[in-house]
Amino acid sequence: MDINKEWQKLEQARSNQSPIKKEEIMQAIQLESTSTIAELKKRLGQKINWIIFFIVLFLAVAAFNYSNLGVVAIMGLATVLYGVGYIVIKQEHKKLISHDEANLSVLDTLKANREAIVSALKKERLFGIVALPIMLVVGLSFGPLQKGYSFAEIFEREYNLYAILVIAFLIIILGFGAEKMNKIAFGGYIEKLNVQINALEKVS
Amino acid sequence: MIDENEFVELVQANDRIIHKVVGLYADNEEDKKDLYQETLLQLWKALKGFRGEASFTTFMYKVALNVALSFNKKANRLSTTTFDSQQVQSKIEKTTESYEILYFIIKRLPETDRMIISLHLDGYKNGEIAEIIGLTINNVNVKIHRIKEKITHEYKQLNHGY
Repeated sequence: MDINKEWQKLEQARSNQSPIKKEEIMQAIQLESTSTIAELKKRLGQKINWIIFFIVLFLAVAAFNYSNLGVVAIMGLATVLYGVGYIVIKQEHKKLISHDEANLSVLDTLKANREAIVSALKKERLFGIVALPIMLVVGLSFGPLQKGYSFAEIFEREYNLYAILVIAFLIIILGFGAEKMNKIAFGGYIEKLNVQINALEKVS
Repeated sequence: MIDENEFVELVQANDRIIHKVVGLYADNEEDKKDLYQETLLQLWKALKGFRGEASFTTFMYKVALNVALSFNKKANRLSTTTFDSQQVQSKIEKTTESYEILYFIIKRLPETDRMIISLHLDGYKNGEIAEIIGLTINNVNVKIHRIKEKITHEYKQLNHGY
């Protein structure tokens, strides 16, 4: 069999397809992307919005309690840590949209996709590990701080220590759950990229 | 810079490339439609990075392949609409045209091999294929040789050695 000739015959047999209409093209380019990268980008975008919401909330609470040094300190700390989280997640979000398909090779695009997803998931997890304890401390100390108690007094209370232990346990469970969900959502895709990258790189 | 109207004209003139890639990578009508639309969308988005160093058709081919290789088929589709290797086998058995057999043999190859052989059969030189995919020319030479051997072997098997 002459593969090239058969391919040409195939091209001829399929060349009678009617060309796509302008309206169909315009409709397609206005649709939302269904790619895995777009899904992750959307998720990080939502996370960024939540971070902004909490920063505004922390600042508002600090402003309304400006005379209470304890509240201002805890809200200030939470704002700074969430601010760092915002910068990190925003950078990952940018990485997901900046990959340049026009000038990268197929192999480089596959690698860029894999690295962008793995890095975004890693940073997202790291942010979760930092953000949840902050929320825990803020949540437990806000009320008592408003009433004029000091940090030492708040965390000396036995029930607060129990609450920390219970919530810390829940955070670990939630962490495992989130990891599992990420594996379900992105594990298969990352594996697919790995297989394709290996197949292209391996000529044995 | 290519404007909207030029983009439409270029797509209309070359959409056989997208049809070909979609046909090689998607198995059922729903996936084909999704992949076709996603390719157009990504092509439009990637257009601002198109510097005109390669031809528009090469650029289109590369974007279409990138999208196809990254495409996640919807797992929840009805099994009756999937086009698995058994169905490919049954299609091969039913067809009499040798070019159709070739098409289904190529469709059964690993995704990356499908990409290399379709570029080769579409007349791209090995140096161009190496640049599009990101391999060395030697790697491309070896790959094409092996894929062709595999196709010929499968074709012979399907035709009982003829």
